[in-house]
Amino acid sequence: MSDNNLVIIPAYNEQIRITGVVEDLRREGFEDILVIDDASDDETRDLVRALGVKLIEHPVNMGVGSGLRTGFEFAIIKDYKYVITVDGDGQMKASDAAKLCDVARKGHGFVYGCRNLNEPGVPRIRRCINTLADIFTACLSGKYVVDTQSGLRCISVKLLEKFNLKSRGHSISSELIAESIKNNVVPVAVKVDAIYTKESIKKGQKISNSLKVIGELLG
Amino acid sequence: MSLFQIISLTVLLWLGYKQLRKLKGAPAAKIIYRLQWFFVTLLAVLLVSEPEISSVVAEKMGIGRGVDIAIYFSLIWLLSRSYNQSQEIEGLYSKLDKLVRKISLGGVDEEKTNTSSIQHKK
Repeated sequence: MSDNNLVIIPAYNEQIRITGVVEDLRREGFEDILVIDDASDDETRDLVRALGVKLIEHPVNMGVGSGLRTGFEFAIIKDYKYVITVDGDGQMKASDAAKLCDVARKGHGFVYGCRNLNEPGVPRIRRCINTLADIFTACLSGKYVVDTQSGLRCISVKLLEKFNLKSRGHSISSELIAESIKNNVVPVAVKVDAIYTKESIKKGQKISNSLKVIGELLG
Repeated sequence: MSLFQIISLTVLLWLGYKQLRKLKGAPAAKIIYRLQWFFVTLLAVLLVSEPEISSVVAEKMGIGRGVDIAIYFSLIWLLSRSYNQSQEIEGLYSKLDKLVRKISLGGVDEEKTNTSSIQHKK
């Protein structure tokens, strides 16, 4: 897994899950792990330091999109080949991140983890929000892509350099897909499992911020 | 003059006085912005002291009642102010976003090893 790939984990108040997420990734052979601490109020920062992985701190809380963009810029400066984005809430399995890398190595610029949202256990509200987000992303990009809001991605840094990203919040997911399509790279979906916990539901997309996301993308 | 007019005029004149005082020594760019508020206050003073004016304007514009034209114009003005302010806030957030990234990534270029942490100086 060490072929010049960087795992980026945007984290905000993830003290309960961050250690598990990093340890899982290490078990899968990921060596270069970068945590972007988005000005957490809890112990996230100290835990990441103790884990000995790379840590970049935001002095002010700016949102998940802003955190990812900081990570992308770091990957560009450091000349990495691929970035793997993983949510800090432990919703995704590290083994699935490895699966994505295997597919990307075959020459794909953008590979993402597509969850089966029709599985039992997936909250109905989450299914509705994700479907609406997919439709909205299709309107933006001109191509319908399933599960655009997935936080598990493997993107070529060369492709990332061409992106013009502006989102600071959750709208980054739609923006990444739209930018990829704009650059003639259709994201490749790889089926993955998602673990829904109370925390991950609380942290993810909400109906209340859907309008904010649309506003961010249109603005 | 009714009690409502007296209270409204007192408040408006006090506001106008405060705005005029702020004009003193203000930079050129701010003078236009503050004058805009002063003229809005002046218009409010005129409408409160002479309510018939709004009725005359409303009749000429085919709206009907004077109070309706005041509400319509207030709505348009408030919406435009609200839009402008949201644009200004968005612009500030955008600048803050760039600044946060610059601070966070400060020193990354000089960073040679792959193991140490990159933290901004507090």
